[in-house]
Amino acid sequence: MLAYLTRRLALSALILVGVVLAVFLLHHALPGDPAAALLGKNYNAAEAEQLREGLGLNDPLPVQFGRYLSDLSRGDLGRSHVTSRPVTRDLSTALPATIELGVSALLLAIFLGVGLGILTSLRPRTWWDLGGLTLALVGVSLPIFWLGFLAMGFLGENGFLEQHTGFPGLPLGGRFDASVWPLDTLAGQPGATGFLLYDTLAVARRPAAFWHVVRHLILPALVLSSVPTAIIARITRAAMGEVLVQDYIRTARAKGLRARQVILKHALRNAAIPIVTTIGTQLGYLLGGAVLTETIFQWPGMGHYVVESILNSDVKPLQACVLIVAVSFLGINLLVDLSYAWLDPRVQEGRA
Amino acid sequence: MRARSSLPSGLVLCASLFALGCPQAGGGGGLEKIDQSSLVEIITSDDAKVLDPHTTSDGGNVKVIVQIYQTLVRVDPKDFKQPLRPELAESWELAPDGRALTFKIRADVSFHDGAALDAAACKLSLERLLKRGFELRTSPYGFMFEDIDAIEAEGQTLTLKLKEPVAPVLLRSLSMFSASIVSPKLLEATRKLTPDEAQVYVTQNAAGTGPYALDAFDPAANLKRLKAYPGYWGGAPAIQTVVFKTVADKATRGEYVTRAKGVILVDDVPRESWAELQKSETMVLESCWSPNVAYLGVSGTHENTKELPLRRAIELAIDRGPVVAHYEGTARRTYSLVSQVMASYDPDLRCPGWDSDRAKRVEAAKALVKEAGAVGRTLTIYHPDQPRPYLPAPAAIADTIRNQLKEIGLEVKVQGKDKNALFPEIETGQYELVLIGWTTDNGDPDNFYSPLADGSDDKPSASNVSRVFDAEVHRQVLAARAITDPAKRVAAYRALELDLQTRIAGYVPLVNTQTAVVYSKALRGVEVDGLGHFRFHKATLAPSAP
Repeated sequence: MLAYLTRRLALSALILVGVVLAVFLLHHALPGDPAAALLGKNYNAAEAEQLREGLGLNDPLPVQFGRYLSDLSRGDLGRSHVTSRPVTRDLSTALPATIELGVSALLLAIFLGVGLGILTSLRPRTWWDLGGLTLALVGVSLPIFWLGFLAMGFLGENGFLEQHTGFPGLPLGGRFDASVWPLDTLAGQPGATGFLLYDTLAVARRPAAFWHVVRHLILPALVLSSVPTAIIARITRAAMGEVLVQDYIRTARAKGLRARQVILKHALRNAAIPIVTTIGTQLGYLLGGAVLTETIFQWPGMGHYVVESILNSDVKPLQACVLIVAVSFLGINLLVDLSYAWLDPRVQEGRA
Repeated sequence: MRARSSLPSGLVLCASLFALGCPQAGGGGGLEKIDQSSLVEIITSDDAKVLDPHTTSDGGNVKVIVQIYQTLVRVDPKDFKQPLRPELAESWELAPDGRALTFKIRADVSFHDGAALDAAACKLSLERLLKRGFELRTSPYGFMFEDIDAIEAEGQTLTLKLKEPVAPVLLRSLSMFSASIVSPKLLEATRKLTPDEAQVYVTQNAAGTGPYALDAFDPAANLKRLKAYPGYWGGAPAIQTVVFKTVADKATRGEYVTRAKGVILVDDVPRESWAELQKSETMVLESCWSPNVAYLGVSGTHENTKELPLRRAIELAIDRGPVVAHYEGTARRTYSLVSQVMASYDPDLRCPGWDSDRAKRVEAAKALVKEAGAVGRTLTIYHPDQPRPYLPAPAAIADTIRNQLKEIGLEVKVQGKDKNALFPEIETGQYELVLIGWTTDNGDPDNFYSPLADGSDDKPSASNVSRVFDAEVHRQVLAARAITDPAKRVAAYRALELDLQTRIAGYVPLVNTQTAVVYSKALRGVEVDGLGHFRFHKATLAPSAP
């Protein structure tokens, strides 16, 4: 196991070096000029040149790269050209927001996707199967922005549900409503993490504020989970379909084991590798910035931050976000690979 | 076993139902709910990220800045033609030689951080704007104040000594947000900071003299909350809390208009929904004419458009009617470089050779194209690839113009450009035709003619889309700046405009547009201006509001 872990870590480190180089070169490939973005309609060559000089954009590439590496080694991701704020400070808000949304959506997707996958695999070529597959196809195919507006119209404030049942509709966007709860004041309190679900309960001890945050999370998490739910459902169905026809499943059933034990302990664990891989990949995508969902629901996460950075030709935040996403993917893939070894010991022996 | 298996799903279901229906009551722990009875939520299209008035030019920032900061003088929010109004300056007078402006500063004003307003405080802010004694990363509007030679402060008397007699223009510039007076306490604290740190410090600790003070600000969290300043010299505002929420997507802003429950104000409403909103029973749509103008810029120096007859042919060939149709009834055709809300706008002005019969204009234009030897020439129109306030559908408008120019024998291609790439390309003259627009920041005609038609050191300014520097135009621009008699200034600018259209023909003015905000009917007394700003110091909420 140790050799396997070392091998995987070495490979990850190598990829990381490539990622750092690619991220540094990123801003040279982007259209637009940061100085033009800052000066707007008052753009003039002299002021722009002075700005570029101040931002260090006129230095030779190796000098810029050296400075980038040096800053990175100190955990300094630079400052936004637009706001002058340290990128780490912005990310201390944006990253927890994205993780909170991404993990919520993924948990929802695992619960619904694996459940739907198992259900359809147990009843192949029935209406259940057809219904499940159709649902999965719809989940993958529906444009997120359309689904977002549909969800707002149905479940949102003054939406269909509220108008026809009187049940209060969900907030239309944001992580919390700054006009209702001053949750910003939590940021300075000892123990605050930026994860509002935790902070409202454990730091502020305000259940009402916690539910306020949960209500804001439901619509974007639901919409964001649509694609991973569909993908996980399809993969689960396919993997379970292969396993359920195996001899040992028939043996387990013949032994008189309960259906639940056969499905969850014998079938699902053996079908788990592709499902876990898919879940890992989906988590990477979700953390990588649910750009559309965050835009529609004004979720102040990484996706929103990336879009703003691109529109403003703001290089440092963009570099930081790409780096974080790349590192997240590397970390998740590493964890997924390690979970293979746990799920199937043949993997670490190189036999699988 | 069966009971345990249904537990997780049961929990999720219960939690979901609870979340959907849970009343939002307060608990314990020092986090109190905000009073909902005196609150307005602003849904804006562009984000506020920097609240340092001296270092920003971004419109999203300005919408928040004008709530917190004030200037010495103000333009009339509804009518740019009116004389300036006093704000932090009670009165002002111009020296007989036109080279000094003396202001009497109000004595009853305090900043949000407790500092008192005096002439020294004003001097400090203007010096920072001019980067004198302060290191700023950039001062995008600083160039408009460079004619200030020296600033003298004594008690409540502020004197600006000028290098040139340009008082009329400078006074108008002093009404701009960029000339906001910032707390001297705050500015002194920035002296030890780097330019980056100073911008963040001023943003996070914003302290002006305006009716609202900063309560919470985190651009990364889309959080901008202001609270009423009880010590406001104009009387404490009735509305206690103003919250800004950025909703960049226009369809989502539309959802807020139809669904939001509280008292809201939404800006940058899509033009196609104005007519419907005017019939709304719950919302008010308030529109006003903006000082912005959309143009077709024609390069006077590019190889393919350098012939004057060709540029005049393009001017004659453009039919504004089909262009205006892209604005859903919220724009009017225009024929002048300045907006129709400006005093110097001449409603009777038309370019040389104009005929109200378009067929005759097309024939005349064809003859001019032939004279230029440009029949069949291929030109490219650049346009910003994203909508701008004065160009709601840039690609479609460019396409309309392409079809009109085809009628006079020109082949035209249309190409979208990132706005951050477009401005540098304009400055280097790498274009033939460009769809662009301009809006004034200070309400003075000089703020059109100087950047758009003039330049310095024998070179056109960066915003001069015609790319022509003309010594005679330069002379006229400088002369008009110094005229203090309003009627004579109007006459000077009208003569300049005619000269530009006759000898340069670098712009085809297209439309002058309206701007609008939508707000809840419960909100009364909100002040909306043509620059797209809104203020709440006199606003109240109807008793029925939540």
